[in-house]
Order: sequence, then structure tokens, then C-alpha cells
Amino acid sequence: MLDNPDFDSLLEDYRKLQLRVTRFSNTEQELINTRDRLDQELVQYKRMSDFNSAALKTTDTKQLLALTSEAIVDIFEVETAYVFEKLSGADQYLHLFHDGIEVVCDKMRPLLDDIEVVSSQTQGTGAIREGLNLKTELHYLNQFAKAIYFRYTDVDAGNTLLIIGMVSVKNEPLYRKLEPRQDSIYNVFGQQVQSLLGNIKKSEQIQQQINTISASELELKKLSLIATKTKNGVIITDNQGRIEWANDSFSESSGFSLDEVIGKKPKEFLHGPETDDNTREILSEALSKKKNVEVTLLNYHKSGSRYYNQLEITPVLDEQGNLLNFISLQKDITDEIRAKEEILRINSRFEQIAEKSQIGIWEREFMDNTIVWNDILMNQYGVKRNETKEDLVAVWRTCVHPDDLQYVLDSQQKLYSKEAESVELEYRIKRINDGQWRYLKTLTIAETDEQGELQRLIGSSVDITETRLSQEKLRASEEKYRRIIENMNLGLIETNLNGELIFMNELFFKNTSILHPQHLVLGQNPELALQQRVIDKDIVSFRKIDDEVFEIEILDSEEKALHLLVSTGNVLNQSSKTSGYINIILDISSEKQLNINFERALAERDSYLKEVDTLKQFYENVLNNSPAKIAVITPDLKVAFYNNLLAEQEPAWANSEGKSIKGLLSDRQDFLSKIEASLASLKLVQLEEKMTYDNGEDKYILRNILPHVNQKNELEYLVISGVNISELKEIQSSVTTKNEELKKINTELDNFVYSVSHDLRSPLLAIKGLINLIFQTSSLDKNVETYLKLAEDSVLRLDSTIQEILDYSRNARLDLELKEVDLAKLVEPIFADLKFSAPEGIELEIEIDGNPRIITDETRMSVLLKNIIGNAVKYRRNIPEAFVKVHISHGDTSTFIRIEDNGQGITQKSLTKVFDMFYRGTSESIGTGLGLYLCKEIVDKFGGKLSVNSEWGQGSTFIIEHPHKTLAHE
Amino acid sequence: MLEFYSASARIVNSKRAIQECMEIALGDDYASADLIIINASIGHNFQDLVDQATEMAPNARVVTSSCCGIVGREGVSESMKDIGIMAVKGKDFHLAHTSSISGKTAYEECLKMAHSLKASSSSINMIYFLASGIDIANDQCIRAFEEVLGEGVTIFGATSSDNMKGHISYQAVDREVFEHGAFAVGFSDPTLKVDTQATHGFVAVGEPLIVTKSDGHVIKELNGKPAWEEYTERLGLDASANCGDTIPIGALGEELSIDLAKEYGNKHILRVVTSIEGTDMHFATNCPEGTKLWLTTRDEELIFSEMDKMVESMRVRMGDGKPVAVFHADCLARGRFLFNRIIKEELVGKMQFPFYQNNACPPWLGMYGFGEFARLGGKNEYHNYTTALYVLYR
Repeated sequence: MLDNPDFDSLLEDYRKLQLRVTRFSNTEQELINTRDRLDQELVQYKRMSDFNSAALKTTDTKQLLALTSEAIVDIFEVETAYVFEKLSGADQYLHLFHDGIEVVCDKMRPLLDDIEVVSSQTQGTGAIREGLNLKTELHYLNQFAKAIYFRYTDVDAGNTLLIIGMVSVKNEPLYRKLEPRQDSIYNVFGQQVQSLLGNIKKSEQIQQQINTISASELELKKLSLIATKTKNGVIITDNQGRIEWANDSFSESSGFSLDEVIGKKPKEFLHGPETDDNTREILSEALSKKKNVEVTLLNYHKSGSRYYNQLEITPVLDEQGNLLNFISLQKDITDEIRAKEEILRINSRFEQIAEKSQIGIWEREFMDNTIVWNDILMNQYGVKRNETKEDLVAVWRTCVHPDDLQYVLDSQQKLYSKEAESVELEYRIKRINDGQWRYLKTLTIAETDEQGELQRLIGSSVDITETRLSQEKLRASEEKYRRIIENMNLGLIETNLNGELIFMNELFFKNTSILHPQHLVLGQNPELALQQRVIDKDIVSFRKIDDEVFEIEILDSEEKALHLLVSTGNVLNQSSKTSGYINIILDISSEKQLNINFERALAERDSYLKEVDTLKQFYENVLNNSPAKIAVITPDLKVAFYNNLLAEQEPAWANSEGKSIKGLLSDRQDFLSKIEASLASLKLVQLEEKMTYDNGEDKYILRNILPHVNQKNELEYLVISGVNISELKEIQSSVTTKNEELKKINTELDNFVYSVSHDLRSPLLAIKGLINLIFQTSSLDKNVETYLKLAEDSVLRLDSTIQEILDYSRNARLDLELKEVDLAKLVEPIFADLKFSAPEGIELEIEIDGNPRIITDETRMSVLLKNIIGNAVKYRRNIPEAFVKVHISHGDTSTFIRIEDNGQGITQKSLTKVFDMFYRGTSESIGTGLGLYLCKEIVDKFGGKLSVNSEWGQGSTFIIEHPHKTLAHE
Repeated sequence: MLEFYSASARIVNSKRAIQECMEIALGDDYASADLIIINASIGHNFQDLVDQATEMAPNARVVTSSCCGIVGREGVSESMKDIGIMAVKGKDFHLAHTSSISGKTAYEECLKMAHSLKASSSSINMIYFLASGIDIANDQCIRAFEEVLGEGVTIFGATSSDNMKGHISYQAVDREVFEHGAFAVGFSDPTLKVDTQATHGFVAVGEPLIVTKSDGHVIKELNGKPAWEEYTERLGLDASANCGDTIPIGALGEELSIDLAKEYGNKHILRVVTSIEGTDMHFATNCPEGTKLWLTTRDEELIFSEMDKMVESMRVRMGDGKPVAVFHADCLARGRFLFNRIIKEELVGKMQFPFYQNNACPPWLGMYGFGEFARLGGKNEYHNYTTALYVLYR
């Protein structure tokens, strides 16, 4: 068949057909790709159209730039885009947009320069740029592989727009090429943006002009209205100062009608002989320099009367600064000038009075409700005339102390109600300029007309603050000293020459419980007076310390002795004659007591030192007789003490008291480093040293380095003790050797048990096989069959025993082999095997709370469950409802397997022994007595617990607690 | 109880894109989200996306993957700037991730994630899994998750992609963006059920290519020849072609058993070549020697009819259950590289409309990626070239 040319040809045709079919997929895909490209171009135009629609709705440049920066990413499918707007020729950009959001960045200069250079030839069209190698401070800008640039300059608006769409080197494979064949779409986009930008700029310009015009019109309307309606005169002149227009108010104040003044210069008809030449010159100069000017000028009314005219002249300039007009605002201030002159005159009069009397004077005229204060009063209230715009009554009310105000107002009311013609008052005010409280003494007089009507109030005011303060200071000073004396620890008694009391600070005598202070008054002859008072038992005793200074012992109100130091002196009057006596008393009882206490403390200290010395001797004696070698080291590592044994066995320590331990142990670095470790941790550190004594004997010394710290955990001493542990070391070595031997014997025993058990099983299984063969051969004599059956049972029992020994041996020898085990699946075959062991029927049930899978050693768990469940079945009771239940549940740290039966149960006597090796409850018990022992061993190997509850005749419950385990890779 | 909210959009600026989606999905309450799942086209700035999402919902966990296009309630779009999100409120979810996964480490890394999820909750019954689609052994991922969480756990999700160039793909967890990462979101809401199914509508043609030498998921030889050369030769492509060139036309079918074929509606399950190394092809799953791989072609009628059947059978399986969210993974070779826009939208309409509730589409997050997970024959399975729907319902 294979040589058949027709078949080969057929096969070749089939192969070609197959290739054609699969390759058709490729061709079809190319068509799809072409269609997709066309679709994409359509999509681009659609997105451009969407952009155009959105852009047409925008009303400002920033919105358009934001949209453009999004559109270039959207339409050309580049990775990112930037749009810059800058003033043509300027370095800094006005706005920068990145993917639709305005950003601020001043590190893009190289990119801007590149766009300028590359696209300067391509106004409005796209320029493709590949392999950008920019050196900007922004690393991400330097990683772009290709870009498309657009640049537009709007000559009219004077700005330039730079647009860039970019693709990074990293993501270049993801993006389509920016192909020159898409020129048309680039151009359309460019023209679109240019046109939109031009429109928006024009629209913004027009809007700005409209806004300006609207604002100007409004301003003009406002000005016209003001000029017409104002009460002030308004004149508009041409640039030569000739009047073009004047309002009605001007005609009223000057007396000239509009017709009379048009074409004339104001100075031609308003100025007269008394018009001030200097002011005219100021006016003239300002106007010639086209400056604003404000002056007050004496003008002449048409009637010839004079009036004061306040002028404000403003030049009106065009955009080029050419003078078009002057606008002059004029106000007749004749009345104000005259009032001012009158006030000046009154002021002058008041000032003269003030100069002489230093009294603040004021006057309140009720006719025209004017108030005048002189400068003295102004000073008293801390206000300046030219700075005070407020009503002076209000100023006065603000200044008066709130506590005094009502009293002052009530008093003044008497003037209004004509109860009094004048009132004199003293009150406080708060001076405005420095906030000081001042005392004023005032007099207010009411002046009435012939009909008795109140016309004015005249007042004077004198600042009496200094006088008042001096008085208060004096009072305060007296009070202060009085309090000092009252509260001092000195007693003070002043008497006149007759011994009569003038002053006594009673508090002192009250505090010291002195019943009769007069007993301490010494007078002219103090010693004599004191002797008499001892006789009279007024005082207990006295002692002369110095001239006129005595120590007196006196009993207080509770009959307690007081020790007083009393000094006496004469009080001299202005003629230097003695006018009385002053006695100063100092209570020195506590100092006396302190002295006594101090002496007692000194005695106690001596006694304590003696005791300490005794204790020291005791402890040194104890330490010197200690079987350990002991040294005590100070925190600065100097030897404070060493016992005799240490000096004897290690002579280097002899006479080491006060020496540095570093020098002493300079050749024993291990010892020193342990001392440092103990110092660092403030904990006991031990060191074992081997020392060779002078007699050549090797000894092992265990040294304890124990820091002794005080309650603040500060080191006080380091106690180093050394004990000879040579004998202990020997015993330890002997025990270790014996342990090793025991382990070896145990291992050998385990191996022996395993080998023997294993070797025993082989012939036993052979015997079992042979018995089975005999059973199958032919009909056997009944007795022979019985004997064989017995033999088989014995073999099975022996096999079971060996199996248990093997299990025990395996458990002892082998490590745990952990894996995930389904306990349900482990129990099922055990149940299946045991089902036939109870022909009368037994209910076998498994109940699982949660996941049946645990991490355990499957073989050991199987042996464990077989043994316990097997026992439950084996020792069942012959009752219809016999059962064995296995219940599995999980705790936080362990899995619990509960095996419950209602079988024979275990007696109390056996309950404590069931897990012992070879224990059998009764001689009738079936089995080796190894089963439950093995179970216990297995559970121990798991690190768990095995427990049993049982009642004889009711049943048993075994509980296996198996700790949760994890696999090694977890 | 978990609540789901979705939104999708095409916006150039990545920060604005995520902001708009979160506002559409959650209104003013966007800060209350507990989990935000983002699918975004490869043209987006992924660091910006996750930074903005984290800023808006500071208490939320954020997981992100790149793709070729988005299907959402708002429709379908395949541009460089699409984005879709599924925002979730509620605490019954658990997150595990790896920053580095490949075909060789797929099993170990997924095993770690599975243990992490199990340690977090023992009640996880479904996993939204998303891994880098470039060099991955997806069957090993499934094996690892099932070993720890059991075969009953439903794995759904996709592999992230670029725009079919096979150049790069991104995954992100919270604020960290990876290029070869993976994440798994385990749901443990006891009230939630999931139903998954995939369909492709391709037919096998000609004689199969036989794998004659392979190592795990790397196919070294086909028909005794260097694998990539033999494969491209059969496709009529030059051997210098790249992976992206073969994806639209080079779907390789593995034969299914009769039972599985009946459920699947097709005799073959399709696989894709994820990357090449010399002439070795990295397959999406392990591919032992002797495996037969058929080249396939698309059958538009079959695509539509199988879609109808799939959606109908899912509706039947849901019974009275109401869909609360739909995750959807579509092969990027089934988008604009297969259909024109109108047919594509019709197909999306066919898969969405049957799940409407009160005339409204349920929260929907779909992406065009490299591969899809869905159950087949009662077991978790990985697919290519399919539309796979994952309907979460109560």
C-alpha cells in the first residue's frame, strides 16, 4: 500500500489541503487585521470628531488645552501627552497640561527646546520624532522612544502652542508605529486645534473688550449722575482750562450761570485781590504738569462777596497720555473756615487760663450743643485734639471708672434739676493714651439765663492722682509693716516709762502660749526685775547672755518649759530722751530641743558603729571558717575581703586587700571575662576552673560570681566564692559512662527483641500454613481436627503476641512518619475486620465533628485504634444492644478520639494497671498483656495522652488526645 | 454579606479614570469600599490607578490587573485606556498574593497563597484568581489550590495580558505593582454561590501535531521537529513570528472525553502558547509527551449558538437564585481581532441580557485577557480562546 503512488499522491494532497485550511486562517486573519486597521482609522476620526464637539463647547483656553492633551492620547493612541502654551519668544510657559490635567513643572526645558527646533518647520502639522535622547531632570521624559510634535504660533495673540504625544522605550512594543502615512489625520488634527485655539482666543478677546466697554459705560453713567446730583460744584474744562460744562451747584455757589462761564478760564472771574498768590502758583504748576491738585482758595462771588472754595482738579488723559480735559470739584467751605477760626479763638482763651491755673477747663453750650476742652483737660484724659473725632462727652463717659460713673452722673443730675448750682466731685478716669487710672477733683458750675434756664455748664478738673497715690502708699506701708511684725517669729512689746503697754504683736504670744507677756518687759533695770520675777515665780529662771540680753525659762499655758531670748532697749523721742522701752523676744525652745536631739543621735551613732564592727567581725569569722574560698570585690574591682582558705590555697590573694582584681587575675582572662559578664548583667555567673595546686594535685573549682545590689539595683559588692567540685566531677563522669552503657544495652535489647520476634514469626506462619493444608486435605478424625484446631489457636495467639512485640519494638525504634491521614478511612477497615468477630452482632459506629483528616503517623495510629477497638469488641457483653462508638473531635491544640463501648468494663482494681506491661486483668483474659501498654507507648510517642474511664459491667471509654501536628514543609 | 458595585469607562488620565469609576459605582460613598478589583487596559499608568484608588478608599484592599479591553454594564471597549472596577463592601473575603510567579514556580507560589487563604479562613468556597498570563502553568495553579482548599473550591478568574503583543502584563496588590505577580481573593460569604462555564466555538482541522518532547509546560518538539518551527510552519507563518502573531490563528485543541465534550459543547479544549524561548514553546498547561494538539479554526455560527446554550444552561442551574455580580473573562483573541464591533457588541448582549434583573444589568466586570478559569466536568479547569462567565448569585 505504501508503495502505491496513488496513495502517496492522495496523502500529499491531504497534507496540502490541511496546510491550505490552516493557512487560510492566517490569510483570513490578515484580512481581519486590515479591517481592524480601517476600523481603527475610523475610530480615530470618530474620536477626533468627539474632541471637536467637546472643544467647540469650551469657552476658555485652559479647557481647550486640557481636552487637547487628552485627545492626542486618545486619537493617536500614544502613551502620554503634554501641551504647553507660552508667549512667543518667551522662555517660561503659561500653562502646561499632562493627560488632561494642568501641572506645574520647570524641568522640561530640553523637551521644549527639542519641540521648538524639530517643529519650527511644521507649523500646525505633526512631526514624528524617533529615538529621543533628551537630558532632562525628569528621568521619565528621557525614556521615550518616539513622539509626535505639533507647534502652532498665533501671531495675533502672540502665543505659541506646543503639543507632544509620546511612547516610552519600555512600552514601545505595545504601541503602533506613528506612521507618516497618517499625515492626513495629523494635519486634520493640527488644523482643528489651531482653528479651535484661534477661535477661543478671539472669543476671549471679544469678551474682554465687551467687559471693558460694559464697565466703562457703567462708570460713565455713574459719573454723570454724581456730577449732576452732587451739592458740590463741578466744572469740566478743555485741555487749555476753558470751561466746557458746569453743574447747577457751581452756579449757585459762584453766582455765575453756565452761559456766563462757558469758554472762560475759572481764574478770570473767580479770583480777586485777596486770593492767595502762593496757592494760585501751586495750582498753576500742578495743572501745567497734568497732576491732580487739591487746594483751598479765596474766591469772589458774582456779587463781590468772598467765599472759601475747596478745589480738587483731576486731569483726564487718553491712552497715549494726551491731556483731554480737566475736571474740577469745588466745595464752598466758608462756614467751616469761620467756625474753625472761632474755635481757635476760644481755644486760645482757654489755653491762657490753663497756662496759669494748671486746671483743665471745659464748657458745654446747650444752645448749639458744642463742647470745648482746653489742652490741660485733653492731657488729663490722654487725648490729642487733632486725633479725636468722637464726641467729647462720649470720650469722658468711656474714661470714667465704671464704679464711679453712676455716682458722678447722679451728682451732675442735681445741676440739671436745679437742686444745686455747682458740684464738687472726686472720681477716677482711665487715661486713653497710656491706660493709667487717674484721680480727678472736679468742680462743675451751671450757668442759667435770666429765666433760670440752663444755658451752659462750665467745669474745671485737677489731676490729684499723685497726692492720692502718696496717701495710699503710706497707708499700705503702715499696713505692710504692721503685718510683718504681727507675723514674725519675734515677740515685740513697747511700753512707756511707766510700764504701760503701747504695742504688742499678740499673734506671737498667742502662738507661743505665753500667758503673761508683761513678765517679759524688763524696763530700766532688767537684771533686778528678773530676779524679783524668779522670786515671785513668774518665771522659772534666767541667764544673762550679754548686756541687755537674757535667756529666760518660763512655763507656758500647759506648764511646758519655754526658753526665750529677751533683749531690751530704750525708745528715744525727738529730743533723744527715753520715752519708753522696747523688748524683743525670741523663742529658742526648738533650738534647745534640737541640740538635745543631736547629742542623743551622736550617742546612737557610736553605739551602732560598735554593733556594726561586732557584726563585721562575726561575718569575717564565718567567712574565714567557710569551706569555700571567698573574696568580696568593690564595684571599682578592688579586693575588699578574702577569707583565710582563699589566701591559703591561692597565695596570690594573700595581702590583696585594696588591690585591683585586674592585676591580681591578669593571667586568668577567662576568670576576668566572667567577672565582667556578671557586672554587665548583674546576675550570677559561674565558672569552672581546673587548678593545679603546689602539691601537683589537680582540682576542679566551681566559682560563683554573685553581684550584690541594693534596693535601687545598684551594685554594692561582687562576692566570688569557689568550691572544690573534683569529687562531684568524678561522680558525674561515672554516671555519664553508665548512661551510655545503658543506652547501648537498651538499643541492643530492642534489636534483639525485634530480630527474635521477626525470626519467630517465619516458622510460626509456616506452621499455620501447614495446619491449613492439613484441614484442606481430607476428612480428619474428629479428635485430630480438635487437636489441630487447638494447635491453630495457639499458633494464632503466639503470632498475635509476636506481632504486638514487633509493634512495640517498631514504636520504640522508629521515628514518627507524619502525613495527612483520614481517620474515618483508617477506622473503616478495622470495623470491617472486627464485624465478623461478633457473630451475634454489635453496632460499630463512627461519628466525626469537623475534618476527619489529621497529620499523624498512619501505621502507629492504625495499631493504636486496632488495639483499643479490638479490645472493645473482644470484651463485649452478649447483649442485643452491644455497641462500640468512635467519636472524633478537634480542640484548639489537639484532636480527641473517644472509643466508647458498653462491654464488660474494667474493675477499679485493674483500672490503674491496664497500661502496665504484661498486665492482664484476670487469668481468663485473652491476650498477652502488651496491647494497652503498646497503646500508651504510641500515644506517648505522639506527645499526647491516653486515658480510660470504666465501670465494671457497664463498659469503658478510652480517650486519645492527639496534639495537632504540622508537616515539615509547612 | 458581601455587596457588589461595578463601573467602567474609557478615560485617558488614569487617576481621573479610577475616580470616575468609583463615583459611578459607589456615588459619594466611595470611601466605604472594602475591596476594589480593577481591570485596566495596558495603556493606563498602573501606579497612578492604585494610588488614586487607595487615596479614595483608604481602608479598602485594592487588586488590579492589566488586560486588552473591558466589558462592563456600560458596554464593551477595546482601547488602550479602558478601565472597569468591581467594588465590594463587606468583610467576607481574604487576600493572598505573590510578587513573582512563572511556569516553573506556579505550583509552589499557589500552594503558599492557598495556605495563606486557609489560615485566614476555613470557610472559603470560591477564589477569584488572577495571574500574569506570560509564562504560567495554570493547571499547576489549580492543583496547588485544590490540594489545600479541596477540589470543591471553585476557582474563577483569568490571566492578565497586554494588547495581544505578549510583551508585558501588570498585576497590583494595594499600592504595589508587579509584572509577574498573582493574587487570589477567597470569598467566604456563606450566602453566596457561584456558577461558572466557558465556551469557545472553534473546530479542529486536519491531523494533530504530536508532542514528541516536552518538559512540564514547555513543548520542545512537535512531530519530532523543533516545536516553534513546526507550529509556525503549519500556520503558514515565518519562524521569526512572535507569540502575538500566533494568538489569533494558532489555537491548539486538546481532545476531551465524550462526557466532558458533551458538557463543553465541543470536542476540544483550547490552549495557547504564552511565550517562546528559542524554538521551545511555553504552553499554558503541562503538556506530556504523546499529547495530540489540533489546529483549529473559528466557526462564527458555532460561537453564537454555543454562547446561547451556555447562558441558558447557567440560568437553569441557578434556579431561583438571583445574580448579584458577574465576573467575566474573555480571550483577547475573541475581541476586535475576531469580530467587528457590531458583532462583538451583539455577542456581549447575548451573554449579559439573560442575567438582567428588573431590566438592569447586574454589576459586571469583564476583561479581555490571555486565559480563563472555569469548571468543567465538576472540576476546576483552565481554558483559552473562550468566553467564561462567573455568576455570583444568592
